[in-house]
Amino acid sequence: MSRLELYSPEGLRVDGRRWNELRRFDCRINTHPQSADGSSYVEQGNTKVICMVSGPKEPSNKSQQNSSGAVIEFNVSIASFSTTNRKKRSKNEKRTIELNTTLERTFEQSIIRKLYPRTTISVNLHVLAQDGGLLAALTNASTLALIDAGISMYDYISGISAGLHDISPLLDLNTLEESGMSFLTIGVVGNSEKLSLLLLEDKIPLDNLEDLLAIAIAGSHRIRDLMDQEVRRHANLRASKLVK
Amino acid sequence: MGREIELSSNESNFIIEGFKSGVRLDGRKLDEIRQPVIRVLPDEYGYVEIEWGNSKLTVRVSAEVVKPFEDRPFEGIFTINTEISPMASPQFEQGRVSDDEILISRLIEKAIRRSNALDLEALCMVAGAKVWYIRADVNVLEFDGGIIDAASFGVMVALQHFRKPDVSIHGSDVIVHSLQEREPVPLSVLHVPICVTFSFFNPSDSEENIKGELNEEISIIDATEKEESLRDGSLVITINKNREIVQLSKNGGLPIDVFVLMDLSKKAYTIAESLSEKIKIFLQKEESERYKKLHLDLLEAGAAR
Amino acid sequence: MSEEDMPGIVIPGDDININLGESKTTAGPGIYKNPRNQEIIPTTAGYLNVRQNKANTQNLIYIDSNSKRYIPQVNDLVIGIITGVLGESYKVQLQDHSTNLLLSMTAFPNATKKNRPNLRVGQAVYARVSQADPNIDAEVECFDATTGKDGGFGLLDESGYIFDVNLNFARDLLFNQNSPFLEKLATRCRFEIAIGMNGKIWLKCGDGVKAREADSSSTQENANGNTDKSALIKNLKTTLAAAKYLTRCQSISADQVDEELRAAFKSI
Repeated sequence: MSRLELYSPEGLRVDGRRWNELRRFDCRINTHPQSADGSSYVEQGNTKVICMVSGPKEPSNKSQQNSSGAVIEFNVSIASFSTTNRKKRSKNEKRTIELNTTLERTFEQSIIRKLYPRTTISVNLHVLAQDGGLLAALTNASTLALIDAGISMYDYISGISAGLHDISPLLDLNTLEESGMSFLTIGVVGNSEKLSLLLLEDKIPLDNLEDLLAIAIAGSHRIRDLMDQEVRRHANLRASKLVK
Repeated sequence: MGREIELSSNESNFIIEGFKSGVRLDGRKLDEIRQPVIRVLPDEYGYVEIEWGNSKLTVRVSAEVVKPFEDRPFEGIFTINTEISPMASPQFEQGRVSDDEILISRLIEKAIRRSNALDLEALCMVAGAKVWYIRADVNVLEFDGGIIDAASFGVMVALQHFRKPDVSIHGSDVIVHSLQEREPVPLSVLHVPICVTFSFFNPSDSEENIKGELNEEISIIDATEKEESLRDGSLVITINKNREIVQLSKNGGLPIDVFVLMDLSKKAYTIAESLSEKIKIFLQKEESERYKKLHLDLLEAGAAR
Repeated sequence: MSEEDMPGIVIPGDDININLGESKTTAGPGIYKNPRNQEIIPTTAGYLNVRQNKANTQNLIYIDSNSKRYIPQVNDLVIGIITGVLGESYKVQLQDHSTNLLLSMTAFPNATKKNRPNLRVGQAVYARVSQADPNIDAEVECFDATTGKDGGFGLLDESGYIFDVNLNFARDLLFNQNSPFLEKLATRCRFEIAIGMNGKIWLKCGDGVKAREADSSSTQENANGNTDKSALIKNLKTTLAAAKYLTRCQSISADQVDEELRAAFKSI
């Protein structure tokens, strides 16, 4: 098997990007105004995610309600056609449950839960296509949909992945790159350098961690700005329709 | 998770106020782990008992010959099975696997299996037909926090302690020699990942944490059950003594500044260094005692003849 | 009343050979009396106690056993943690993973429908078990029903520490006047203590540990802020040492008490 060149000596990646370039990031909010309280659609390269938020609503299960704040519920469903190999994925796969819990715990801190006692906020995520950076795309889609739903949050949470090829850090990996190197996914709060989410599953040297985090944080700030643009564009659109 | 323990505000007050003054209920420093106690059986391989403060667990490693997966004909199979029963604490329910338990077992898998701590290719005997299937069963006997750290530590001790039977290969036939017949062989362990769990506490309100510049979140190492039930977030760093981060996992929770994170990973490294040294010393001592005992037995047998 | 103790360890199924004569016998905890032939059978393992009154007309037989789970009995003094509100009552938990008891909001001194106590989840109260019928939820109350006064019951403030001990150790501390543990402890520090028969102990050494208010108060009293802090750390450490000492006291013999006390207070 010939090894695919993931990062050429000239500094180009498989899809022609430089090391610190993001893939095309496209997002829309309020995509499903009828069926959800808040919705969004995120494309990060070829990874495509739809997110629908409903709530704060009455909990379906009485025992779930919490008098000190809202209960956040995530439900990620990965379509069987989302990868090249069509594969039926069960909802109770360990990986999916881990994704759900990770997202729940991330957003529990950034949503001002105490404003919505005895309610549930449920976030349903549908993965239409996967091409790397899944958790990051899920995080971004959730942030946008929660904003669209008008749920109070302290700040944006923007996610991005970054990998390490030999000693050069690369931003925003696609599937090919993910399978060929160690990478991490982070979720950053607003424009700060605080990480609410951090996931690394493969080996990287301790001494390279700092570089990797630095470009990942820069990338996530860029994502935050792009999301902010879309939210403002949409807000202006709505505001222009208001009768003055 | 089933019903968690109900902590009185008196206890939480003491725990949090203690942290602010650098005091913990059990007298440890904030960045001090509970020193584990390792026990093995004198005449068996691959059974390890770990006492981690008040947490206690056993790890059993076993081996059998199986057919490999079709897509990986040259690799042996290695699985880690984590069992947290109500025996460990009433908060775990029988038959139902809670999200936390899944996170725990996923983390241990990632830390050890995914990081190739065990050389799978060395487990292959006849490509595509016969490989070793190594299985590590973790049973939690008593729960007082720090299960991830204790379990991954236990699995690594057990893997290094375990000896699989020697085999001789004739064409596609494999003869497994019993332990009496031939000296069993150790597994090839490529590196020793050590998990260190940090728990975060936020003394001020969450707005200060997200917007503020203070960074006064408190982080402690190796929380007990009571401390775990109060924490606002956690971070598991898995690292080996070659300065490689094997796995990082901060599943949400309190946002933490990058500089704090770098600091913590350095702390984790020193802990990993000392724990892997501890495993090494323990296994060497155990080995030499076993060797002495074996020779004594042989001598006695000779004398009897 | 003269007491004649005949202690000895019995195990369920043992034959208790006591000649009680014609006197009337009351079966206490751990004793089953066969209604047909008045035979007495121990049902728990523990220390057998037989008490007779002077006239030899009445006997009390019970077994002192060392259990960890508490079963509510009327008139027991307990420490409960508020875990929630149910209608007009608080839900109170006496031990981890045990059934909740009810504490009516009117079961406080001077409480009426309008004038209710204001307790939060997690706070601890000292209370008396007022009702322990197995068919309905057990209840506790926080006032002395005979006088209507507080009688020592009520909220245990948050500056004290709460920890768990065995039930018989808690009973021993509470009722055994010859118990040396608390007197010994008093030689090392000043403390307030509340002992619940459900095995919970509330302990506060010195002025205890008050939750510090963030920023605002500490900047105001910057001058004595430092002394405040060191006093707080001292109280915190003393309380924890005392708690450790009492926990250890459960499993040591009387002559080891001094040593244990020294060990617990070593670092202070």
